[in-house]
Amino acid sequence: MVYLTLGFLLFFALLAILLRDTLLSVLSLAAVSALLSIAFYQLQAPVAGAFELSVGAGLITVLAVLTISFLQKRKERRQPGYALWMAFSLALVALLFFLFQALWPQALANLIPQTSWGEVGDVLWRVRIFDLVPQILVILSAVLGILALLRKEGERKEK
Amino acid sequence: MNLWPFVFVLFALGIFCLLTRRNLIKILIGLELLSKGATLALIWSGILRNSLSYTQSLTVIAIAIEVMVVAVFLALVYAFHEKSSSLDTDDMKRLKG
Amino acid sequence: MNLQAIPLYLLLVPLAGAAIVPLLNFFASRAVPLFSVLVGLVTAVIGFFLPGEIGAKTFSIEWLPGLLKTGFQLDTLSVVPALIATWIGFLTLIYSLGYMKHEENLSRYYSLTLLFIASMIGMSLADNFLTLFFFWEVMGVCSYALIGFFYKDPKAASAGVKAFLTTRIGDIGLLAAILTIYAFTGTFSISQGLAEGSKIALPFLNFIAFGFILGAVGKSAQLPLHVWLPDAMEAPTTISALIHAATMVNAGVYLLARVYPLLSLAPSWLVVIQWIGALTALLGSLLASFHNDLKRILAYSTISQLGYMVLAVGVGGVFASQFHLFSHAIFKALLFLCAGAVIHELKTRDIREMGGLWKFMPVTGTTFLIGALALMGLPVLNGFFSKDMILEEALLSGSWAPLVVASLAALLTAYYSLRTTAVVFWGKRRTSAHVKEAPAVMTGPLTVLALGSLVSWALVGPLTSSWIRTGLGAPQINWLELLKETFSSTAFLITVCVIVLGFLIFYYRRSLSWVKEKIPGFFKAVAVGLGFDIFYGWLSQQIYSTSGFLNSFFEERVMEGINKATGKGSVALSTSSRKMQTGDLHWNLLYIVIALIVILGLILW
Repeated sequence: MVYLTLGFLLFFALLAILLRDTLLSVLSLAAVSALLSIAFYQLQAPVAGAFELSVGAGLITVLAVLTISFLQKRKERRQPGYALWMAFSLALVALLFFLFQALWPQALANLIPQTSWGEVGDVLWRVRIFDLVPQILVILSAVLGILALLRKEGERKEK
Repeated sequence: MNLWPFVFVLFALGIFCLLTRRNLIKILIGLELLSKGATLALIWSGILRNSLSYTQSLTVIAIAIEVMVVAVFLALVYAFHEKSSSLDTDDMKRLKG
Repeated sequence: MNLQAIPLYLLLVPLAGAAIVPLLNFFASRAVPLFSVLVGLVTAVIGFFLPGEIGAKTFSIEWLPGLLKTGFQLDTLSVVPALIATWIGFLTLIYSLGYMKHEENLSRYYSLTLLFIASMIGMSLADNFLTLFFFWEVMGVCSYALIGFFYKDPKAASAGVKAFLTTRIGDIGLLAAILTIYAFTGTFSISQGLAEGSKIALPFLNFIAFGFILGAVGKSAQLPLHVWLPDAMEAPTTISALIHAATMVNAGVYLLARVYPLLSLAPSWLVVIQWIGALTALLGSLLASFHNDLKRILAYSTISQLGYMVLAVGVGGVFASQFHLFSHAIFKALLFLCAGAVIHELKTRDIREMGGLWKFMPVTGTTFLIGALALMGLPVLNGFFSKDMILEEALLSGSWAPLVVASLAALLTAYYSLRTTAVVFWGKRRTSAHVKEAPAVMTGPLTVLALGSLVSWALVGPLTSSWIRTGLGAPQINWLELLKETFSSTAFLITVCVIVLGFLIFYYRRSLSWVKEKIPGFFKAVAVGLGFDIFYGWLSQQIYSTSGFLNSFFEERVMEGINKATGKGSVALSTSSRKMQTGDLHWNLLYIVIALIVILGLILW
C-alpha cells in the first residue's frame, strides 16, 4: 500500500519538475507533500505525518502561492490548457489506485507497530531537548533573513 | 518492503531539478524534493531500527527546518525580483569572478 | 692562601681588574690609571710566587663533566711567558701613567691592557688546547682593539683590521690542527695529546704540523704573514711594547715550543720552520736597515728576532728559543719604551727629524743604547747569550744554509741597531723643538728594563734546572758554565765576526753610499717592504670584487628571479582559479552536489 502512495508521489514530483507554469508546479508540490504525509501514516508514523501535512501541504504551499501571486503581477501565466492535463493525470492515478487495491489486497497489509503521540512527545522533550536550541536559532535566523530581504528599496539605499 | 529505491529516486529528481531548471521557483521545488527525500529516509531508517518514536522527533525537527529554508528562500526570491524584475538565474551573474 | 690556586689567582686578578675599570671610570675616572697600576702590582707580586709552584700538581677544573676539562700546567715553558706578561705588563702600566696622561678614553685602554695581560697568562698556563685557543683569540681581539685605539685616525683603524685578518688566517690553521688532534686522540688536553701524538699517521701529523705552523706564522708575524706588525705601530707605544714586542707575538713561538714533541715527528716540516725563521730574520733586518720611521724599524726588528726564535725551534733548540724569548722581551720592550719617550717629546716618528738628543735625554739615551747593544748581541748583555745559543744549536744540528742566512741577518742587525741609535741620539741636532727628559714615571721602567738586559742571562741556572725538573730535556747549566760554554763555542766566533763587520759597515756607512746608486731598484723594493703589502692589497681587492660581483649576480638573477616567479605563479594560479567562479547559480549547485557525493563516498567507505 505504501508503494502505491509513493508511486503517486514520484509521479507528482516529476510533474512538478517538468511543468513550465510555476503556479502549477507549486500545486503539484503540495500534492507531493500530501502523499508523503499519507505514506507516513501508513508507515505507522502518525506524528511525522501530521506535521508533514500541516507544514508541507499547508504552510509551504500557502507561502509559495502568496509569493508567486505577488510576482505574478509582472509575469504572465501560461495557457490554461495545462490544467486539463493536470486533472487528467489525477483521474488516471485514482483509477490505478483503486485497481491496485482491488487486485492485490495482500500487499496492503501492514505489520508495523503503532506509535503514539505521547511517545514522540516524550522523546522530543526529554531525549532530544538539545535539538530545540539550534531549532530556535534556525527560526530566529530565518525571521531575520526574511526581514532583511524584504526591506524596501528605499530603506536599503539608506543603509 | 524496501523503500530505499524511492528515497534515491526522490533525491535524484531533486538534484536533477536543481541542476537543470532556470526559474528560481523550480529551484525551490528541487530543494523541497530533496528535503522530502531526506524525511522519508529518516522515517524508513527508523522503521528498520524499530525506534519510530525517536525517529519521528528527528523528522519533526527536519520538517521545521525545511519550512525555514522555504521561507527564507521565498524572501530571497522576492528581494531578487525587486532588484531585477526577473526570476531567471541567467540574470544572476553578479558574482562572476 | 691556597698555594695551589696561585695560577688561578694570577689569571683572575687582571681579569677582574679589566672588568672593574669601566665601572670605576663611571664613578671616578681620574682613579683609573692608578687602579690599573695597582692591579698590575698585585699581579706581579702573585707572579713572584709562581716559579715556586713549578712541578707541582696541576690544578684542573671540569667545566662540562666528562667533556671539557681545563687546568693549568706549570712547567718552565708555560711560566716564562706568563711571568713576562705580568712583570713587563706592570712596568708598562707604570709607564702609561706618564705616556697616556693626555689621552682620552683611558678606561678602554686600561681595561683592554689588563684583559690582555690576563689572556696571555691564561694562554701560557693552559693545559687544554681549547682554553689555549680561547685565550689566543682574546689576545687577538685585544690587539685589534688596542691597535685601533686612536680610532679616529683611519690609518689606525685599518691597521687594526689588517692585524686581525692576518692573524685570523693563522688561527684557522691552529683550529684545524687542534681539531685533527682531537679527532685522532679524542682529547683536548695538551699533555695527553702530545703523549698520544705518536700514534697518528704521518700524513695527518704533517697536516697538524702545518696547522700549528700556520698559527705561529700568523701570530708571530713570520714570513709571509708578517705584514700586520709594521702597520700595528699605529697603536700607542706602550701597547707596541707590551703586545707587539714582549707578549703576544711570542705566543706563536710559545706554541711551537709547546707542541715541539709533535713537530719533531714530522721532520720535513721542521726544515720548513727553520727556513721560515731564517728568511724572516733576514727580511726583518733588511727592512729595518733602510726605513726611517722609528717604530717601524723596531717592528721589523721584532719580526727579525722572532725569526731567530722560530729558527731555534726548527733546529731543535727549544730551550734556546725560550731563552731568547725571555731576553728579547726585556730589551725590545726597553727599546719601544725609549722610543715612546722620544716620540712623546718630539711628536714625530721620523728619525730624520731627530738627532743629538743625548744631551737633552740622557737617561733615555743610555737605556736605548743598552737595549740596542743587547739587540745587536754584544757580549755581556743578555741578547748575546741567547742569540749565541741559537746559532750554536743551528750549528750542532747541521743546518748550514739557515745558519748562513741567520748570520747575515745578525750582521744587518748589528748595523741597524747602531745606525738607529746614532741617528736618533748622536750627531747633529736636526729638530728645533724644545726637548726635555721624560718624566720619572717613564724613565723608571726604562732603568729597570735596562738593568734586566744586563743581568737577565744570569737566570739561566734556575731556568734550566726547572726545565729539567719538568722533564723538558736540556742540559743543566748555571751562569758560570754558560759563560764558559759560550765563549768557547764556534758560534761565538761567528757572533764576534758578525758584530765587528756590522760595526764596520756602520762606521763607514757614508763611504758605502755608492751601493745605493748602483742598485736603486733593490732599495726601492725595500722601501715598500719588498712588495708584500702591495700583493696582499691586490689579492684582497680581487677577492672583494669577485665576491661583490657574485653577490650582485646572485641578488639580481637568483633572488629577483625567485621573487618574480612566485608573483607570476600566484597570479597565474588565481587567473586559472577564477574560471570556477562563473557566477552561474547552476555551476555552484553542481559543485555542491559533487562535493556531497564525494563526502558521502568518503563516509560510506
